[in-house]
Amino acid sequence: MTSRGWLGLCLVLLPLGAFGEEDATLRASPRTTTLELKLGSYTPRIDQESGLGGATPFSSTYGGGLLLGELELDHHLFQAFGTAAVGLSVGYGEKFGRATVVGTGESSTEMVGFKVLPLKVWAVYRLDYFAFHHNIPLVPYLKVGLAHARWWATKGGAIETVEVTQPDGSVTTVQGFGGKWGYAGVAGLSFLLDVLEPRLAKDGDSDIGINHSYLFAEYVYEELDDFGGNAFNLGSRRWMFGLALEL
Amino acid sequence: MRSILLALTLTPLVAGAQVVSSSLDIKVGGRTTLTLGPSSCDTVVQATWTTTVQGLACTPLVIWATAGDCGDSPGSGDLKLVDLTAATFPAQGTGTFTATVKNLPAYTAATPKTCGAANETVTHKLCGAFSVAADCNFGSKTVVKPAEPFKLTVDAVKPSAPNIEEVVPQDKALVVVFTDVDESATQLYVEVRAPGEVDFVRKGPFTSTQLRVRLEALENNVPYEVRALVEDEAGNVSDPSSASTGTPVDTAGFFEAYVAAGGSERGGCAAGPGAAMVWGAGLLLLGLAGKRVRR
Repeated sequence: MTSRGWLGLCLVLLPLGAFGEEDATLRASPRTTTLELKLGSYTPRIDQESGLGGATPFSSTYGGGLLLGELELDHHLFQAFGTAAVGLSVGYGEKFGRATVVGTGESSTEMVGFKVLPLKVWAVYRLDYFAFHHNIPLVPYLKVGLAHARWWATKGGAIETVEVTQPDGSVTTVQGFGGKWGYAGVAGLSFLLDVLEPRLAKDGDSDIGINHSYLFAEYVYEELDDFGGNAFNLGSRRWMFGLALEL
Repeated sequence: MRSILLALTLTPLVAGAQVVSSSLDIKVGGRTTLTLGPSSCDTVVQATWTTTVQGLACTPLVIWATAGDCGDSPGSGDLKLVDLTAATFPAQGTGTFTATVKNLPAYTAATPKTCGAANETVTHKLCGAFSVAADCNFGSKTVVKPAEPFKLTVDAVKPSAPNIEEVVPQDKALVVVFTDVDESATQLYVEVRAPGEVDFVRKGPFTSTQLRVRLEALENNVPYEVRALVEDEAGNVSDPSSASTGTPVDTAGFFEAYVAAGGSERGGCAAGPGAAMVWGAGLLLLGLAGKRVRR
């Protein structure tokens, strides 16, 4: 960003910061937990598998990505310079398409679906020091986590099964569901909503225990391929947007 | 003055609160309606009466069956089923009685109907009444009857056949879509016949409100004839609908397309414990984090 850009950002933020002046007569309740609700478009990296030879079965069947919703709960461990926390998140997304007629490749009337349920354990760091001590209402944060995602593919309302011919000529039936391990990293930026309505924010804390609320955007980098396995990669590169409540 | 006004206002409310109604219920199996099929003429129906008497019972409890409307007492041609004196039924509170279908008034009248005659529905009501008063020798009496008379119907009318709007081919399956399902229908059946077969094979029953039925375990590329019929509460079965044809087709979903393209994922339960391990690790971390936040 140019120097003029930084000056412009400061001119915008400083007046907002003026609204965030602490009222010494009201003591905030302890901050212990952050609750996040977020949505984003999720496209698993299934079609990037080298063994597919350029084929794109996921995007050919389902088109674009699916809408993924996630709920995350972080518990604060440390609140000296910024906030360190550990957290759990759970998400869900599904997408539907149509099966193709074998032989002709035409679209059939039979519906197929792909569903995913990611679970993650996080280590979180939020640089909220400047928001609470210098009235700058922006909080950057980083997360790293261990991830596991359950997936299942359906056809005609049931789990899709595929008969696979083995090298010895025998046929085995493979079921379209399973789970993948991996890791995830997140870089995000939150905007402290308290600066827009400071009085309401303080009332929210005293009445129902919501210390602060934020809108946030975060970029997710994840690999869910069993740590380098050759099969499904349920990882993705995506943006997530949501609302965070500090309790 | 204010206390007098308050008393005058409250007294009618209190008086009203002390009035509790007498009642009479007649039920079969907890229900106030019963529908039987055309072959039920020899059926003996057992019903239960229940009374609540507030004040004094001044007349006997009488229960009767009628092919018309319930009055305050049996009319000519009605069949009396219960006649209990005013001295006995209030203490009893409840009791049972029976009625044989073929002995009901419509079937024993001077010009009787034929019990179970085809395409005919005959409804009888089981009526009841007694009267109560604060003093049976002075003042008016109130006739107590069921809020809704019990209705016993012999239904010999077949429901109309449903209409098959569409037969949708699926992989080793067909989805049959219905319209115009008779309102009296309670169950739906679908019959399937493969080429060269003589008889249809019946699948079901399905609930009659289920307008899409999936027939599975069929062979792909085989043209099946499909027809449907419904059954009502009395057991009357409709004529079958006109037959439609559907041919299941082999289809490939995402996972089959992925495997066919060379994908190596084979799914299954191998990663089953993974979710539990993630949750377990998370709960352990949160448990350790249960200590107070350090500032």
